[in-house]
Amino acid sequence: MDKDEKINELITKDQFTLSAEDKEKQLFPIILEQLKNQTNNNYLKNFYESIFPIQNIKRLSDIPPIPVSMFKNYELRLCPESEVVRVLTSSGTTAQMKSKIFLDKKTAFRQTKALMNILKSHLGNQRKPMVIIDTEKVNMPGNDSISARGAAIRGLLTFAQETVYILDGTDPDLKLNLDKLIGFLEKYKDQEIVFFGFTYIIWEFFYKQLLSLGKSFKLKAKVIHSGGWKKLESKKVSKEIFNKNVSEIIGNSSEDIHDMYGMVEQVGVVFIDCEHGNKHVPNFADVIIRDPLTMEEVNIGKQGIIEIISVLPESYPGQATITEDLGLLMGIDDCKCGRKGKYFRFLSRIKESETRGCGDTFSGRRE
Amino acid sequence: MIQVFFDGKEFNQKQAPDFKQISEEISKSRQEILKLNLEDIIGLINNFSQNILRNHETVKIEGIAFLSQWARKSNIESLIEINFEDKKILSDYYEKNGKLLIAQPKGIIGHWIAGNVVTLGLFSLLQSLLMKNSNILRIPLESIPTMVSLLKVLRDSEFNGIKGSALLSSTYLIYFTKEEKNINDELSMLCDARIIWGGEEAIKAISDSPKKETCEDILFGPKYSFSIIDKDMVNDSVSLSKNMNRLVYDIIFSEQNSCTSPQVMICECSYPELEKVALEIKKSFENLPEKYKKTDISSFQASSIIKIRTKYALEGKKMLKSEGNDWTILLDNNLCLEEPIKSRTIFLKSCDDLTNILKLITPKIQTIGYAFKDKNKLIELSKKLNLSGVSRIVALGQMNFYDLPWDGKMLLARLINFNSLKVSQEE
Repeated sequence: MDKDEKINELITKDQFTLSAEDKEKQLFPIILEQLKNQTNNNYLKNFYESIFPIQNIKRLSDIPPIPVSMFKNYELRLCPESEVVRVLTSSGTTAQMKSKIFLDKKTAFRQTKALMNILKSHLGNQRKPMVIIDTEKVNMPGNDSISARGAAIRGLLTFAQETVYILDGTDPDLKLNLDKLIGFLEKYKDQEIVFFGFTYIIWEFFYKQLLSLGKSFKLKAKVIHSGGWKKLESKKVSKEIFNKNVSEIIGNSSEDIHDMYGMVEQVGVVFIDCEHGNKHVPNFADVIIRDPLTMEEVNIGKQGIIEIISVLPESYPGQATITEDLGLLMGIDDCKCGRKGKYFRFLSRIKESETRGCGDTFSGRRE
Repeated sequence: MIQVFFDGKEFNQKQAPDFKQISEEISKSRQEILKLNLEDIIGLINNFSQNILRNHETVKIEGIAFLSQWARKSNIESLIEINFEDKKILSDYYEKNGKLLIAQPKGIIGHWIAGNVVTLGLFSLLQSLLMKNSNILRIPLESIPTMVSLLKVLRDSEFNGIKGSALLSSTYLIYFTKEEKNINDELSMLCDARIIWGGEEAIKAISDSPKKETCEDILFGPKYSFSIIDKDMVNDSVSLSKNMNRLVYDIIFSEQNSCTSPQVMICECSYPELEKVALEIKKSFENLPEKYKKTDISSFQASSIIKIRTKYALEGKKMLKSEGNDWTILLDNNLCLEEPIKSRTIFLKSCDDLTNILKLITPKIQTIGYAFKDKNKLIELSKKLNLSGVSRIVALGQMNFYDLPWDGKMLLARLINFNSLKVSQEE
């Protein structure tokens, strides 16, 4: 089998079946071949020569990861410009510059297929009626570029039997269209519904608006949400509070509220909480939680910086990307849910220390 | 709520809703320090300087050797000398141009201490005590254990039968959160002088709070420091090695969180020659004694290091680095001052002529550490650098040595009022 066939097999077979050891054996040769192809790009040639030469890489954890923020500063494209079918951009709400992720047909196809297969493990094989807690505008790109929010929704749509967008208006003035929601729920009253939205938007424009209307449901439904906790942390809304309150409004169990962790730099690799609250890694990817000082992989029970390994991308260098997030390595191959491989929990975004002093910063101080 | 960790007598942690009782206690206990004479205070501080090296807790504190050296009698006397023409003025009337002058304590000094250097509070406090002031120190939570252990040693110090407890009788060690603006305002209103150490945000927030019309502000705000090395030094391998070792000690102190920490080193040499300098720095990092090895790093700091290394690597710039996120040396020939990465990350830059650094100088430059063979050239350049606003120019290895003047200020002279008496000759 050649590389592409191996990747295809990894993507299409049932997920979460490979032990950590088997995964290392299967992913490493594929990724090594992919890395060798990256050195046609001058930036990446420099990068590997300087940080860790490719010929010295002997295992997945040797691969020098690229910080996700580098996709904001450099055009890291590995395919000819003419082959780019889509450019994904990060939300860019907290930084002025946005990540630019170039997708060719092959990478985009793999990502879609991979995402589908991960979702199957959590949602079952059948397509489901899907309520998107957002406005349809977010998934209407003006050109070939699409936001992270749009990309996440688009990824899930492939899993939808029928879709309804239940928010009207434009950020930040989004309004729940209750009639639309009730009409859709009525139509599919005998089926399991999947709700999807960004965490903050679900809380602010779905949960709080339903609460103020005194409206709640009794549904057989799963809720998948992503986008992080930054905005809700400032409102003192924890994951537990979110799960409890949203499930009370929907009328399902808080175990049916699933946090999905992912990023625009790694579309196709998403981590959805299992019923035990752990995030699992699909067969075509891996996670390395690195100790901030040594950069070695941490032991079980320790926290560190989350790095994601993936065989999916070939139009941009996403084989090993290091995030700005902290995770906790919970275990390997032995989660009670039965999924194999490493499992972890997302802890928080990396925050700047509050211990600051007179040596703070230089910018903004020049007179 | 105010968390009180020391109330002039006890180290039992307690809470106070406001400063009413603290202010009353200070008024009562203030007499004790006023009764002490200058020689006794110097003697007590000198005894403290010896005791902190004997105490099993304080001896482990980062920067304790320097604090001990700084608090010695000889150094304290030289600090007084640099501030005052004659130290007699601190004890009695001193005649000058037909007037009798006397230096009197300001009163209550509020100290807002930054968290970047754990011993910072002591430098601030000891100078204030020397001038017989009462003190309220707002200390970051992470520095409290260090400050408590140091103050315990000071309290137990002795000189001429006098105990350090007399010196500390009107000193308070407290903490409140930065969100407790009302408490901050109340403290501010109590002060006769405010010493504020910190970053831009802290300085602005505190200096904007209400104060007495007579209150004096002494601000030690955000500053930036870097190093320079002349071409003769670059070409002398023995001196280069010695000086790069000194630079590394300047770098590792407080993990470059101080305003005196070198973030950049500018070398008078060609870009290819920079590698020679970088290799010497690398050697010094690798040969650091075990006790100076980095044992911890924040995720934020690690992330910053990973990003700057990747940036340099992608752009094909040279770099030397440790395996993990211990130390990083980044080389280029772009003459500029870089945003600090800290945590043992030094930007190394080449330039043809060190006079070119004059264009980089702003009044925000605190310290320049140098390694120069040609001392005349150093003096010529320093005159221009000082004129442009550089506060301190010191040899490598001494960048973090706290001294007076600091940020251009003679702190002791700012902590007293010069009062006078003119005796009329007429009947």
